[in-house]
Amino acid sequence: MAHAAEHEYTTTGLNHRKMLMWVFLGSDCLFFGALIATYMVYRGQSLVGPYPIDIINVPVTTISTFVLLMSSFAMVQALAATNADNKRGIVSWLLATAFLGAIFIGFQIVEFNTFKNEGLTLGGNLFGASFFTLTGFHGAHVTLGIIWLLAMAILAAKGRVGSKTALDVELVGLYWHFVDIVWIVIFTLLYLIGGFDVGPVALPGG
Amino acid sequence: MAAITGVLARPTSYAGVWGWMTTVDHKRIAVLYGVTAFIFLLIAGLEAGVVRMQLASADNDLISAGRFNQMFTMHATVMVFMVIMPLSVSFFNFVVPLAIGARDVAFPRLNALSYWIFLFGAVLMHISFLVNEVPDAGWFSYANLTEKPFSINRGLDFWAIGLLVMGAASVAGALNFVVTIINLRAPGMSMMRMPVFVWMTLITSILLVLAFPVITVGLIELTMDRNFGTHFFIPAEGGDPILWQHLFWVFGHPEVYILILPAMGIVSEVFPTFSRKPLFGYPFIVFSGIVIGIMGWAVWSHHMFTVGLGPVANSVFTITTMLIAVPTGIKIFNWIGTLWKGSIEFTTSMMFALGFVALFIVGGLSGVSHAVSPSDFQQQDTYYIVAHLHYVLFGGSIMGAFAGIYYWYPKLTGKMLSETLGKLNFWFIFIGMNLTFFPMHYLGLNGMPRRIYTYSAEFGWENMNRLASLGYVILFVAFLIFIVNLWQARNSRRVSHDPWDAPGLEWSIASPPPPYNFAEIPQVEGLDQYWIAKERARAAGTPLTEPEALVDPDSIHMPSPSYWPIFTAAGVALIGGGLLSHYAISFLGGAITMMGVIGWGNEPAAAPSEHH
Amino acid sequence: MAHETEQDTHHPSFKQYVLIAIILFAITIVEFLLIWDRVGIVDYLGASKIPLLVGLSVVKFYIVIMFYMHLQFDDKLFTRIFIAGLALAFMVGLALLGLFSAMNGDQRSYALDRAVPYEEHEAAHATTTPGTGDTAGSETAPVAAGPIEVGAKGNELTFDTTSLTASSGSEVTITFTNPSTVNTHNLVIVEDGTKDAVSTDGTVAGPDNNWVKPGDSRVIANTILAGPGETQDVSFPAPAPGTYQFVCTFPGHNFTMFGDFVVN
Repeated sequence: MAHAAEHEYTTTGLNHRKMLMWVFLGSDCLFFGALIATYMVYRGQSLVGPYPIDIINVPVTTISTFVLLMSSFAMVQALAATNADNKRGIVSWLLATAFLGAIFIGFQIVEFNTFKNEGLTLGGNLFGASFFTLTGFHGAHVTLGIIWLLAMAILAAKGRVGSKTALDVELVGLYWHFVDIVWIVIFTLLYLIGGFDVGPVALPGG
Repeated sequence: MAAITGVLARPTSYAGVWGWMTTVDHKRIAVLYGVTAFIFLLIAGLEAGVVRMQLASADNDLISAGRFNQMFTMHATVMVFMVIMPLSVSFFNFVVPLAIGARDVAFPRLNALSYWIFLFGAVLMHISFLVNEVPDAGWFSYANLTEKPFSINRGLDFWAIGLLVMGAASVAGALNFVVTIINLRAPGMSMMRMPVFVWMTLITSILLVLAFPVITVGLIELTMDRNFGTHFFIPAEGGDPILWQHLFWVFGHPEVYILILPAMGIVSEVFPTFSRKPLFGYPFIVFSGIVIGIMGWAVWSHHMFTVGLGPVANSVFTITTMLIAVPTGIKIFNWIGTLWKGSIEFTTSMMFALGFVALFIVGGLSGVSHAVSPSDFQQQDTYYIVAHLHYVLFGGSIMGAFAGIYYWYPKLTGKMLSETLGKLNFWFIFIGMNLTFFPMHYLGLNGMPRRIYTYSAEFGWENMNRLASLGYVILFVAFLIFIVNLWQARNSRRVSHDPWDAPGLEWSIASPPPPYNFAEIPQVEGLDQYWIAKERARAAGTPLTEPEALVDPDSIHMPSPSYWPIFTAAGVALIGGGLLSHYAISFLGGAITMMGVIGWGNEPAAAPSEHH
Repeated sequence: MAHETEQDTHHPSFKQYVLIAIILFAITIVEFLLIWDRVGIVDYLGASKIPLLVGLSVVKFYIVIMFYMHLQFDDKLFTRIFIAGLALAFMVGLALLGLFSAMNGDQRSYALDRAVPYEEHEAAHATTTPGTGDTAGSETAPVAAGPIEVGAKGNELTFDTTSLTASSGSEVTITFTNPSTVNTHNLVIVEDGTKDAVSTDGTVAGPDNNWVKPGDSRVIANTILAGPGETQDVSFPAPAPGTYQFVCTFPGHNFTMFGDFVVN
């Protein structure tokens, strides 16, 4: 990425791009928040099945959650390697992160296909619509992250990533971890809790 | 690396059309935004004209009902997203770096990207006119009128996708300003020494980055309903059209504060200058702005009082909405306090600022009457609301923008707009605006609903409608006067760098500012820094009459022009365009965006050996 | 693998990162066990599983943010920036959920419970304005031997009559002509007082069912949808003497497009 002058003047002493990334992540909270709100509002409102309890496979998704958590660990190691100017380590850990992310996406693809074969579609009911939209956009975020990681890995292999440009790795790391914590929320709400939803239910107070 | 950076060499000069297309200079980007916004102002103004001509007479058949729907939909959509917002961003761009003593924004290329994505998104939405499939469901496009089969043609898709693209531009721009204001203030400029306009920019930008994602989700869900078979807002399949309203207004209410806070910021700069007094109650004005920004998230359902949310919800939102009037009132009292016993100069800019306060109060009063949900039940969907919104948006935001134009024009160009024409401009707008919109209070309370393309004579609304349409003619003339003023200013005499003897840092440098803005980054000791510096120099007997001395531009490293922003923006726009025509175009757009991002990433912020 | 010995005080060591990863995995396993029916814990938990699961996830969330995303060691400004967005998203989300469920029960049933059936107003007006006649044509169709002709009023959402009659024991034929240029209508004969409920169920049934729920026991007979300019008719044996209603069940039309159907 760009060789920005890291010693430019800033009022707070904090780096511009790091601040940009954090503000962007704050903004992305609202994006996922609105998608999650849609899902939560429509819990129990699907007129027809399949309903979550028929479809959601918590054990398998727990595995993919592990995979994503592991990828965050790999990401942190990539940053550590960057700070230590360990070129082999940087490339390996970046690739590992991307690889684990790709496995997660693989799980998602298989899951989407399985659900589709079991009758859950975007247009079939509200559960399908809100589920696929939310997890689909999360998957899109992960995919963009994988592409970014691969680009960084290529740069690293060319020797252009090291302690002087550690911020570049830190930025992709922040993005990647954010995507991971969004998944933590999705996993809890859609799988651990919502995964047991049955057909139309009266909502509390109704 | 050079191979990836692109076929074309990096641009180096400011000259010509290519110079404008590749500029990353905030001052030029401000001009781009401003000119674009003004063109759309004329377009949306003409659309308003069609509406007013149709409604001038009962049982009129100047245009069909369908065309009328398109006119009011596009008038509002264009005014909100393609006039007031880019006008605000134009001011942010021009003023903020100068006011905080910076050389540019934190991310100059991102700044350029925001403009080009905005322009392409706006053009994308207007292609709907070329294919005669124009959005026609109101600027808020309530579901499920917006679903198929009720809105079968692509009009609503143009609307949704155009807004999605423009939304990306807004968020990118706002992110830039948040970082710029937090991180690029001159030494000594603490947050509480920032000019109020900069504060309002910060709050507005924070609102933008937080609010746009919500409508993005709404627009995505609407687009999916219309094109991918989902039923988010379709009742027959269990969906709830009210969810659309919530998503829209959770965005929509902060959006109206996004529309008004910049104007309030401008007015807070104009009043001290032309009262020859510091702003009264600066901390109160700042904090009330922050409070408005926060509370703006707690009031959105006052747009939905008549939807049937229930008495508890209606009561809660009534209370929060009534409360949010308080910080605005605080600002108004502090502005009056600024004027009080000041040495008032009635320049055009000052008059627009005074007009802003007067008209915004009127709009605020009608707003408070809407806040109370029982009375809103009578007012909702009537012309009373149309009156309110135009008083706050036209009497508020547009008047504020004009105050800013007349105020900062000499800084941008080194010349003055004519004060005579300016005052004529002001009076025509003021009178025209009141003539057009005040009768609408009566019309609304007499039962005239919104969004009707005609009405029977027996309702007795014709006279008021005639008055309103006459007001439009006066407004039309007002804008012609403004155009004439702009035109003649090209040849007017040069003025000094500080024609108003103003307090802001931007007035300490030459007009127009050199590319690097400040030869030496200023040291800030307090609020109204330039007044402090001038006062100190006067006391020492060596008045500051000259602008900061110019230096050799090559000695200061400025970010270089770049074609990646416009290139990447084209990619983003094509993604949107492809969704409206052939998906292959979206893939092409995606590839272009990707190439743009890679090229951009490989390009250093400043060309290493190039100075210009 | 980099093994940080020279520690920057601001970075956890490799061992600490591994420990954090293990904690994250462990919490996930606990969450899984809490809901896995084979283990059976979930049966004991009931509704308390929700705060438990949410709480565990909050811990994971916090750990990733604080340690992996380094907020624990970075300038507090970053924390505040992120928390601002997060808190706002959370509160707005909660408010939305509240608006959709907790406040007055399900919003839909709230509205339905309080909807004032229009036929009550209709009856009230009928007693207070005896015989003076409404302004808009409420002709009483004669007891028809042949088909009863019914139309709508131009593009308005009303029939051209508010009263139909028939003799019991006869075969009733109603011919509905739709003069509108933009609206689609139908004509549905229903039990007295049920026009709105039938219309509501009809909306769910969709246009393919002519906006009438299949097998709806309150419906005596109905025409299929008549588009602009079309005519449809329906024949049926007159039901038992009494008062019924006729209504158009195109979504939203039932509020103004109805009348009484009296069988003598």
